[in-house]
Amino acid sequence: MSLLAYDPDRVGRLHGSMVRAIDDLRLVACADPAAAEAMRLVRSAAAQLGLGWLPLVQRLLTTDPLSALAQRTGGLGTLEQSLVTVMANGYGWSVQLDRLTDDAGHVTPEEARALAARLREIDPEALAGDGAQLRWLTGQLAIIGRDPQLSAQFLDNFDDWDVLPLVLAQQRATLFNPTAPTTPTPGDIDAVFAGLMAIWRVGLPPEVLAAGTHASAAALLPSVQYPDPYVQALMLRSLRLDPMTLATVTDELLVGWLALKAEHGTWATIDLGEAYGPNAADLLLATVALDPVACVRFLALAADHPAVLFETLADPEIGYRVILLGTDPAHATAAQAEPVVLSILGYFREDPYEHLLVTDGYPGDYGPFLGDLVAPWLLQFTNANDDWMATEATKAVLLRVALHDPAALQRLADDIDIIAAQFAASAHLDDIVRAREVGALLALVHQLVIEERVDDEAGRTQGGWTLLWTLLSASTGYLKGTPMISILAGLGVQQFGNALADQLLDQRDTDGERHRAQLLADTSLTVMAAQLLAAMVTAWQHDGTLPDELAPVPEPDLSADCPSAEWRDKLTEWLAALPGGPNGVLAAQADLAVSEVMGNSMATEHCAELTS
Amino acid sequence: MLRSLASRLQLLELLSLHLAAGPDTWVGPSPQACLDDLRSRRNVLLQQADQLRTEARRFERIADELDTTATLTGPR
Repeated sequence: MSLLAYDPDRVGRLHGSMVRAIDDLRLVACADPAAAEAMRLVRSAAAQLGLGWLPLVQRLLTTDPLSALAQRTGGLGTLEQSLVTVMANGYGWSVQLDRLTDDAGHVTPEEARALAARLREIDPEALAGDGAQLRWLTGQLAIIGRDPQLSAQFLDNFDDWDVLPLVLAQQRATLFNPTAPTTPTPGDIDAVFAGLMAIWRVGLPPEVLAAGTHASAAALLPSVQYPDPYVQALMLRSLRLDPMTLATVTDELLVGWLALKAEHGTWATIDLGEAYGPNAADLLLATVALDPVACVRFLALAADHPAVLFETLADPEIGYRVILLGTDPAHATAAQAEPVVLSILGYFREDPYEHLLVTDGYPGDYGPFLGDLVAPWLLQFTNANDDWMATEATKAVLLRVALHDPAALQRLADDIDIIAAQFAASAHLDDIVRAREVGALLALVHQLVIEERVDDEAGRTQGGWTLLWTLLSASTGYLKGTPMISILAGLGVQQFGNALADQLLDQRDTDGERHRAQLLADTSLTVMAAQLLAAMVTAWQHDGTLPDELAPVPEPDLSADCPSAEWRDKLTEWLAALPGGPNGVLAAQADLAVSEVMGNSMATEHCAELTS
Repeated sequence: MLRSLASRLQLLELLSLHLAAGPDTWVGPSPQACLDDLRSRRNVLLQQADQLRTEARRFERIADELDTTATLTGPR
């Protein structure tokens, strides 16, 4: 049972028209067998009019309209009865019960107009708290949004963008509180936003919808007097924007949010003051994180103001996802990744928690994230790689930011597959260039995680060894060789570190930590250089450049006073035995690779002090 | 006869009844069902009128062919 509304005068005229139509139909006659179907249709029409619609009209004309109380009892005023309500309240039409129930799967233009009008009039808070009404509304909006004509009818009659979306958003923001009712759900309200914005989208010019880098929230969203970022976020993510447009307008909104916070203090929120649930940044960046193109575009903008990634989100993991996806070599070039990676590392040069007060946007436990961030781009941090434009010093300073964090070190060591994949991506380079890059990386990491951290307790330094071992393992495949297991035979990561530590415990450390660090550096760098050279030799033997019977690369003597000096002497003899002699091409290339590891970290100076 | 019926169908008062049964007169599930029904019947009857004319032409063509055949074969 539902309601119907009618203009009694017009229904009266309709009654007269029906009677005449029935009489007219009854006069039609034709005996030709070829007209049998036509005559059947005529009789059927007469029957339906006479037995179906005419009695309905007669009932309306002979029955008293519903009283105001009966109208309310019958549902007048509800959204489902929007059209009847509009005609009854707005035009004074009479109302009676209707034996049929409205087909919610069909929306007429009149119903679309009436629904829009009713949405301006109803109590928005009551609607926002009524899950059943929201779900019914969602269905209607979805139907309207799929039809440009219905959408136009709706938009012509709906101008409540200031109130209804705000109230819906307010309701949504409270639903994440543990004490919130179980219905409606955030999904109920999201679905209404989706419906409203699908309709709004129909009215947007294509050039605005696909504005890309020129997109703006003002052009994309309905004009309201007091735009709220949380409401805007709910609207924007429902607009089904292309990745470039979404990223551009997300950056605009979050930069505005930072300005808002700077003006009003850290407690200014963009989730309408609620302590639970996602805020505007969470909503938008979670949408950005679904598309690598959007991530790359957003990061290109955010590189100038990385705080949008770490001072807006209630869930910092969302920001990490955006960054790692947008700097993934599968989606970003080295040139695209450079400003982003360096900007983010620059942001973390100072512990953000030292200057950030308690806030509703925070950078989270960012250590492991920094490890993941630099893992695919380690080679680009070295001076042997020219993919990035930043200076060697700048890159070293910023890589130190990531390697300073023990959690980042551990994550980097866990990311061996990513590192190895990065090495493999440089397969177009010739052997010597790749060897130089790996050598430079080993030396750089050694410098940053071992030499500069000698005062750290052993457990933290162990993270540096673990990472170096990871890099060595990854570089083995990169250099097309196999590890020089004769040097590190059977030693695992822990054992490698322990072996060096044992050496240090036994050595003549009379000058304290500095001497200890120098010996550590010299020993480890020598081992790494030997490892690298062995891998190169294996590669050369594999491709026939060197004969298999060549003497193996000399092994460092870890018990020597200065392992690098002793190994260098043996290396000179070994290089002389290479085809071409000590001044040949192979000797030069091998020496260059070794120097990348040992020379860059000034092993010679270390050794001079060790033996002094 | 078929053409005559077709013309009659095209002049039925029923065909314009939907104009008086629209949302300017009444709204609700039953009024909508009535309006949909009237529009549907209007369309069906107009199609039927077209079919009647088509059928009439077909009969005329057959008759012409029979006449032509009779002329060619001549009286027996």
